[in-house]
Amino acid sequence: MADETVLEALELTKRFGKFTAVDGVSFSLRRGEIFGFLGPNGAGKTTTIRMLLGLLKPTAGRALVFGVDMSKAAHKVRARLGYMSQKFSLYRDLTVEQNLRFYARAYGLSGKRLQERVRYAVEIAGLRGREGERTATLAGGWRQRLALAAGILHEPELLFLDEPTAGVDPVSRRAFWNLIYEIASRGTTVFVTTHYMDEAEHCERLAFIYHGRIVALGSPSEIKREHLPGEVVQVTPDDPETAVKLLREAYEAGTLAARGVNLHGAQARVLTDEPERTLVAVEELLGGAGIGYSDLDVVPPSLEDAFIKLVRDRL
Amino acid sequence: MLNRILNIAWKDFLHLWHNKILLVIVLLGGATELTLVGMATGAPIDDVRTVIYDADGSQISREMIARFEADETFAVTVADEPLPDDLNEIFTGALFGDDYIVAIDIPEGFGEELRAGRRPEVTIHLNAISALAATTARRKAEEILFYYGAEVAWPDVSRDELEAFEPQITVRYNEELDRAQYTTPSEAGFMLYVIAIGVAAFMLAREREFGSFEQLLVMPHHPMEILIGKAIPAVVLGYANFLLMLGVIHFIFGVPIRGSLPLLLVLALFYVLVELGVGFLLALVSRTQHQAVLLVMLVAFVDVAFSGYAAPVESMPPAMQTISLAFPIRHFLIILRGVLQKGVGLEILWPHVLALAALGLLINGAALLLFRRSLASER
Amino acid sequence: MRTHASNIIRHTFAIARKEIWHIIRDPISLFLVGFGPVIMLIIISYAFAVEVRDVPTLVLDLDRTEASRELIERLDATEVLDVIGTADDMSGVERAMDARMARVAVVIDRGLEAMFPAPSGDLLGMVAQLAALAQVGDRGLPVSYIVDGTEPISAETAIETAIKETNAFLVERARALLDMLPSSMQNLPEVQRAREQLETPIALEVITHYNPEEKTLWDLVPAMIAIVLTMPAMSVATVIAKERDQGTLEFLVATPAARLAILTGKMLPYVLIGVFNVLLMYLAAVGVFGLPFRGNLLLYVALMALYEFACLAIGLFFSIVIPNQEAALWVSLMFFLFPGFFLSGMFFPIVAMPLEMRMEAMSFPVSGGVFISRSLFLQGVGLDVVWWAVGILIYVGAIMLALSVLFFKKRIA
Repeated sequence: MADETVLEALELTKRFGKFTAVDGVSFSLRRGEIFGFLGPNGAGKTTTIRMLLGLLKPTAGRALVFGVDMSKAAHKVRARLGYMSQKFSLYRDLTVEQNLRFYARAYGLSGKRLQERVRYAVEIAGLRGREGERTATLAGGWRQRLALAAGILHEPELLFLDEPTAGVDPVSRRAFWNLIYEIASRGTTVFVTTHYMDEAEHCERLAFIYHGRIVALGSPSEIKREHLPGEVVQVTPDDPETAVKLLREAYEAGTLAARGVNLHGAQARVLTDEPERTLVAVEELLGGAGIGYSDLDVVPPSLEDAFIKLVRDRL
Repeated sequence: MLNRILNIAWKDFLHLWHNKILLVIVLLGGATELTLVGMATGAPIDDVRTVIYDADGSQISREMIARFEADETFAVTVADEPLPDDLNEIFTGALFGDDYIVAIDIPEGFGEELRAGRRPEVTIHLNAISALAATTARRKAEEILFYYGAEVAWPDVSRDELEAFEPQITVRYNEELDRAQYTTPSEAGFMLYVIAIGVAAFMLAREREFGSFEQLLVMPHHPMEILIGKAIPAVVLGYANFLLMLGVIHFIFGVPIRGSLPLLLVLALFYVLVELGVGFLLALVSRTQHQAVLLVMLVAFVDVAFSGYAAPVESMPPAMQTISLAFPIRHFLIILRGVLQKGVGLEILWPHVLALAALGLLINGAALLLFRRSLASER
Repeated sequence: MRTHASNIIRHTFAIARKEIWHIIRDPISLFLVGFGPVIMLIIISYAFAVEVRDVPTLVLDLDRTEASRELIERLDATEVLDVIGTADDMSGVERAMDARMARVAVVIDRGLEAMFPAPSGDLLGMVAQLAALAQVGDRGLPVSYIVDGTEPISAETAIETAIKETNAFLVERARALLDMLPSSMQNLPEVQRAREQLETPIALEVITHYNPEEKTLWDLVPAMIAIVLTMPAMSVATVIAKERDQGTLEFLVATPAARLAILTGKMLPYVLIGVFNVLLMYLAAVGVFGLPFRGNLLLYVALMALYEFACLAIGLFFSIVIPNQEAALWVSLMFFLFPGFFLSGMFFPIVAMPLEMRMEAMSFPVSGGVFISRSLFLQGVGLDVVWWAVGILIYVGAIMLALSVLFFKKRIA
């Protein structure tokens, strides 16, 4: 039961004219897991999700959901799916309750069960007492939660979330992810696309898509282990840009033992297989150049480090 | 299935309900527009500003001026100086302070010559800045001059005898030649469909613009259910307008309903369904509501041009006449006038009903095809 | 003070540039706004200004004589009537009229030929008969017409033509018979009187100015130019509402001067588009429809730009006071286009109305635009004549702009 496959992408390919948006993508989802689909904007995330939903016909390959080929018989499984799109969340001129009722009826709910589910959705969206408000007046975070609640009204077995937290503030994002965990804990499989690395860490399994191809697939720790052996020397210099420039020159000249140097926020991160040696070298280099710093330490690599490396390797 | 269709229709009604201004326009716009049109066109062309210079000053010429004054068509001013050589001065208001439409010059000796039967000459200058006003004034002036002239020149011929000299004219269907009886049914047929395709195009274009259309497709809707659900508000609103307008036409503008009212109601419903496809087509080719509305306007104008709304189709160049057959509104206006004014039924109107059916299949078929293509290629 | 003013002007142009960019980025709308008006002008003018001609006419000829055939040929030879066939009896006429196959039916009863005396035999008797012809008396004329009144304007024209042609037919035939009399008889008082009564009692000379053939097209096209120029105004009506809908209304400006700058900046590109449209439509009017242009083109373009400004100011006002773009669009549609057609003299000749009523209709800017457009096109007059309509346009435009500036702040706050 736990290993049951609910979704299977087999060599999915989509070409628009000469442009290949998605190129031979394969992966599968197991029942009950949260599967992250990660990649920068324009990498092919939305195109893939639309093929999985049967909205777009693949140029080649197949998308099987509950064993049904989505380009042929999507209607057979629609009632078991939920979808929250990136562009649209709810009709802004309708009230909270009107939106929820519309969704519920569209999925065939009626009578007492409809009342129950709508009440539940209002509850989990945290909008009790605000049922009569127009969704246009809700703040972005509330609206996203409401959209998610609408998406699970009919208790779908598989839920697609396309960039659900785009443009939402960090606090609301945290609340939103808690909601996703709760939904998954009730047995719903969640397929979520995002371009936030920190969100990807929340997923049980991940696919990283870049220029239409999957470049990494597995759990966050598997991906890190496979694509990024070694550790990270992290430092917070007073002048990060000059510091990174300096470290990078040293790395390129071969005087700094490292596998790469990145700037991440205000921090310089140096990937290395020999953390102790590199730590000393960084200390010397920054000290020699007279750049002040703090928080020099060895830390485990993050997903972001892994993806930066994966992307670099392909440039 | 029916539940899902009604759910979509209900949602679209809610959109309208939340947009009160639009709702009022969509509900009452047709009847308001129609009333305006009827009032504007039903008013007779009266009080055309006319200046007369009477160089004769005789009893006869003064009596003739009195005839013009007594006629409703003219609002007469008698000039006390001769008309200028440059008539622009009269027609632009430079000379007598008002821009006259008609200037009549009565020559010296007019009365005497007329009595002697020597055909005196009268000159009428027309300011044809509005051709319709000029034509109306000309026809009326000719009539007054003829009958008054005959009265003076041929005192032994009675008015009845003069009139008997003219062919007998019987006007059918719109006996008074009331222009409101022509324009109001036109407007009703027109607004019926403008509202219907406007609402249809608007509601569909709106979902596409906001990206909610995709959401609808991912739900367990058959695409046809979405289309039908969206068609319902359009048909209901278009039809409600039609009923209201029919009331206005009949009770306010006095257009008779000589034929079968149930037949008309059925055919009007049929007609809305035919035109509905146009609304969907427009929504499918436009990317935003704004574009959809501009397109609705453009199409509405083309329709007005080809429908016989404003000018009889027979007077158009033959190519345009043939093209006009492809416009459903042309057939519907014939049906509408046929039932209202002529009192005819299917025995006469069937070719137009058939034409509507054929066009309906074509238009709605095209809309469906485009709909399916847009489903397949939406990115 | 000086820098303040120049700041505002700079601001205006910055907004205008951004607005132009918005318009250009949406090619369909650009096309519709840029070329829609001239396309509409051409279509509508063709449709509405169709001169009444070839009205389908059915013949029921019970006389079947040389005279009746001559009359029918005469009717068919006119531009207005077009004989499409003959009916055998009245029920055939009824059917054709009901089915709209024919819109006029001419019924010639027996006795048309018999009205005219045979040219031989009793000459004086013939003269007496001809003199009596002018006064058919109780017998009546054996020619009658049945006209479909559903389209009154064309019906009136058809009736006028029918009467004129029938009279001309009678008169010419009678005159030809009188001409056949020997010259010794021509001076007889009976003959002279018969001739006299074949003429109208007054010789009427009608001189039609500006539009000698009384073509509807000529007064319609300049009116249409003004009406379709409201299209950009309808576009602008959605601009502010659209930004509000999308939540991109980025300015919350303190001073009225800055608000004025924003609003004029938004209008400027549309005025430019309007000027472009005016020039295109001028070319279409003169080139396609063969209208004369008798005024000063430069003045015309300037006044039409002013008119466009007044319309835009109204559109902008709608845009500000109406909460969303859909409603704004519909309101402006209902306000400009539909009433524009009817109140601006397209169907009803507003120029023929009494002056007080006209003043009211004129304050509706579309009517003012129509008036100016027609006066310059057909009459070739200048500011000395149209000044008061120009004044109304300036007044309406300024008031609307001022209200817009006022409400702009309120709505946003």
